[in-house]
Amino acid sequence: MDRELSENQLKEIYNLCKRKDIRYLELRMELVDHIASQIETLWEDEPELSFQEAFQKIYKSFGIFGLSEIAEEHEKVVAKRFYQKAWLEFKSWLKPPKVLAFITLLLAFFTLMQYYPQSSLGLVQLNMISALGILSYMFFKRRNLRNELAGDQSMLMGSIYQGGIGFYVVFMGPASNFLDFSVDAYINFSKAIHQAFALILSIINILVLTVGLRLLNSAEGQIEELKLRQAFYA
Amino acid sequence: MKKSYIKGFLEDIILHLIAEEGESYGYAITRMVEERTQGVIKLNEGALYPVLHKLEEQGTLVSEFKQEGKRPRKYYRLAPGKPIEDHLQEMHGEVESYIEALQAIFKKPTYG
Repeated sequence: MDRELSENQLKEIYNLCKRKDIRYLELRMELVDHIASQIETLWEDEPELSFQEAFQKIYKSFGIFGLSEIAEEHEKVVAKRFYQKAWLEFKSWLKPPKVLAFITLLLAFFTLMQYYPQSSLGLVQLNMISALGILSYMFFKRRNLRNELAGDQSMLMGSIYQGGIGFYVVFMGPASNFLDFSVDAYINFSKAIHQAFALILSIINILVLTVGLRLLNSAEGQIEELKLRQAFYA
Repeated sequence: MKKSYIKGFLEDIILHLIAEEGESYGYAITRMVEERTQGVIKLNEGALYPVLHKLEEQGTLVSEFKQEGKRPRKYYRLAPGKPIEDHLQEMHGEVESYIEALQAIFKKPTYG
């Protein structure tokens, strides 16, 4: 019978991947299976090797940067997922029937701003309050999911924050200052630019929050399956 | 072989092999590529898994963990209900004409 790795040996590979910053559970489990399969194949040619010798040989074959390079490559996939989801979500807003609601809302806000110029600032403040509320909810919810996975996270959980942070740094800082200054007439931008800016900020805010919530929801749906698989290496 | 040669084909290689096998997993894909090309092409893990996850994210592939002996193994297969046969046929044709075109360029070296 072919030589197979024991549960303890599999756990040793799993722990090494964890130490080497393979943060995402799915990827870590795939790599454990990959490395274990490589070791078992190596044993077919060199059965005299101990587990440690075979493991070292395979680990060296990953190159100097080894697992860190894989971890790095995955950060790009995880970050891209957020932007892809955001793009798909935005495209769906431009298709019927959502496009009707989208245009109606834009027109409603635009008309409101024509009669009450200060409402552009009110709109941004409303966005900020909703963003703070929903982001706090997402933060605690995500933390609970992480606790359920004993501090680990899935790739979906990693994607939730990727795209949003940069936007909110700008949104809560320079962007809101710009609107404040603009309203107080320290900077004399035309009314149209001011209003367009408030509308664009609102659209991005709703988009970022919607995508974040959708990702969080999908991440929650995966938890039981991941817990089950993770328990094997506990 | 230079990694850059393979990079452009990586997605197509993976899709082709998974379509052929019905379902497969990371290590099996690297083995298939290595065996079929007699070691000329070696897929590295840092390139393979991001592409698999990207295809999964796009909805082209779906995955499922199965218990394989003592450990969980993640299997990938083409997403059901997503007609991909035309894309695979087209990809096959394109790869063939690309190979022919390269052969036409590099067939007879007459340097100097």
